[in-house]
Amino acid sequence: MSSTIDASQILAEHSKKYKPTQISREIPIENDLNLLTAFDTNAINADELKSNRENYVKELSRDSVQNLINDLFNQPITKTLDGPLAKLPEESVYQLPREKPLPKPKALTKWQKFANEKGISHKKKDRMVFDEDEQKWVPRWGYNGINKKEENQWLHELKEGQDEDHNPASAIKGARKERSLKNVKQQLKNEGITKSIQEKQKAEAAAKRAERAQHKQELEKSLHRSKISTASLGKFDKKLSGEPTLKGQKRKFNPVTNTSDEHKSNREILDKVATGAGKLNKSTGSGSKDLVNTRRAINSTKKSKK
Amino acid sequence: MLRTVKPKNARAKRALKEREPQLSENPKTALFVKTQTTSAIVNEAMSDLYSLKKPNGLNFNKKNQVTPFEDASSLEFWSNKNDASLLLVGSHQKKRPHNLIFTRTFNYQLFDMFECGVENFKPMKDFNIHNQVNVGMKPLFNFTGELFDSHPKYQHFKNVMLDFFRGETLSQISLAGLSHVISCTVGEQADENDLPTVHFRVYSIQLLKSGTRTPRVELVEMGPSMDLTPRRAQEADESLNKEAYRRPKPVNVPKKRKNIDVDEMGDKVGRIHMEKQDLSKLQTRKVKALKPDN
Repeated sequence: MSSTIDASQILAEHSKKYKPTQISREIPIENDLNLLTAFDTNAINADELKSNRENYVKELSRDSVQNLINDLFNQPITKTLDGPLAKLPEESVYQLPREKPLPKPKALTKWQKFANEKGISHKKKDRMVFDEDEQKWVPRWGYNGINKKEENQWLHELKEGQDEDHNPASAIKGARKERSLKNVKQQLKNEGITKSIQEKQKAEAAAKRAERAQHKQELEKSLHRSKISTASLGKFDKKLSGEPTLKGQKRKFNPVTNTSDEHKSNREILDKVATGAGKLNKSTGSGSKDLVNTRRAINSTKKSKK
Repeated sequence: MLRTVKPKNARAKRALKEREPQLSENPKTALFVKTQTTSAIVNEAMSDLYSLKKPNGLNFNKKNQVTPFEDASSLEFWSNKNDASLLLVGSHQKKRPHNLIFTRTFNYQLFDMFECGVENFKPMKDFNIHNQVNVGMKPLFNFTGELFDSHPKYQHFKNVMLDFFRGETLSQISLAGLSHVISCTVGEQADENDLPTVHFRVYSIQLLKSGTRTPRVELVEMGPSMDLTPRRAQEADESLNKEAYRRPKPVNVPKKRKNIDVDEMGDKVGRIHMEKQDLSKLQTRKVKALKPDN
């Protein structure tokens, strides 16, 4: 004989042992789990708030917290070493003001803008690509490359109005070769352009440097001249701190004992005088080779003829 | 205003970068400022609130001559200097005894203010010390009362309280770490101009066995306990308000694609629309013999 189990008795025992965890309110208590907040908008018993304030407030709070914790325990829970963690919603329902304004999106650099426009990606293309139809990895180009997939297919669709002897496979191949040639051409052109630009920039930079060097030299010269242009030749002028010292010419003394060098130089001078090589001719700038100033002679004869 | 500095070394640069606006923000820091005259009640209330706000609080030791409702420039300066957007100013005057002013700033500019008087104050130390919680625990909140939903002043109060004490934004929470609850209860208005006091209570939470999945909750008061009477308030500026409540655009949310669904078997189902096919123009095998002669 089977005895019937009286569920009501067990329930009663359970309720005697444990206090209830469920609460009921006229207006359901709203919870914001992200903020861990309960909003209870039910009417409050004014008399009880006055007479038995502390206990009443505590009781109301307990009910709200119980409801909130019930909700929290029903969230997806992950077990960790530090105890169970309940997942909270990403966004709160009740909105609170931010501390600072939203960050402004960073302005793109000139290069980034250009790259976006042109569709340039800094990532290197993989050599292998996945062929969705074949469900395997194939090379992007080269033997069995995916770029030859169309021209190698065994069946081609002929469009209406095309010639009978039209070979779609060779047409596609021709187009591919053309694209490749065009790319090579463009590459060469770009190389040429960049090379010429680089050369031009180099030349410009060198010219600028030379100009600056010359300018600096001139400035130093004029500074030097102004410094020794006083009555004392700059001897009693006030010196600035860190002023560069003037470099004059160093005197050079020839050796007194060994006179072979001196002898040689004297000889050279004598030679010059004898040949008339050192003689200056103002009109030509060189009076050495011919003794007659031809230009002058021509001019004088022209004048006399007139 | 503080002068804007250009960082000269990496450390300064890092420090300045930390202050920059961020998409998901750090918990707001609160400054606790006393005016020239304060009462013992205000002092104790502030130190108790400070211990609730720890570790995101900063106590000013010296007294300061500030009147936030007249001139808030000092508050803005402190906010900027300490990178804090919450300020609690405590004062005590004959006209407004035991006064607390909750102030918020947005982008180091004054956002709003809420002033309330403290009554029936009971400090933390009057309660059993064993019930008190560790530093940095995230509190639960409870707002009981119709007025928190309907009256603008109490809505403001609710907003300020939540903002002040909520601390970090978490994606998940330890269920063992549900330690205390800040509870605000307000009664009903006697007439239209009546501003009933808010009963501010803090309870520590005890989770007891219930025989079910969810535990039975019992509360033990841990303090501070006070009744707050709303006084003056300054609402946020309209434009500032709009800026402050702006939400970031959600990222990586896939766009809803049209006509593509997943059925209950988990198969992807697409719906396509076709024109009616004209079979008379169907291309068949081309044979020279069938070509018309020209």
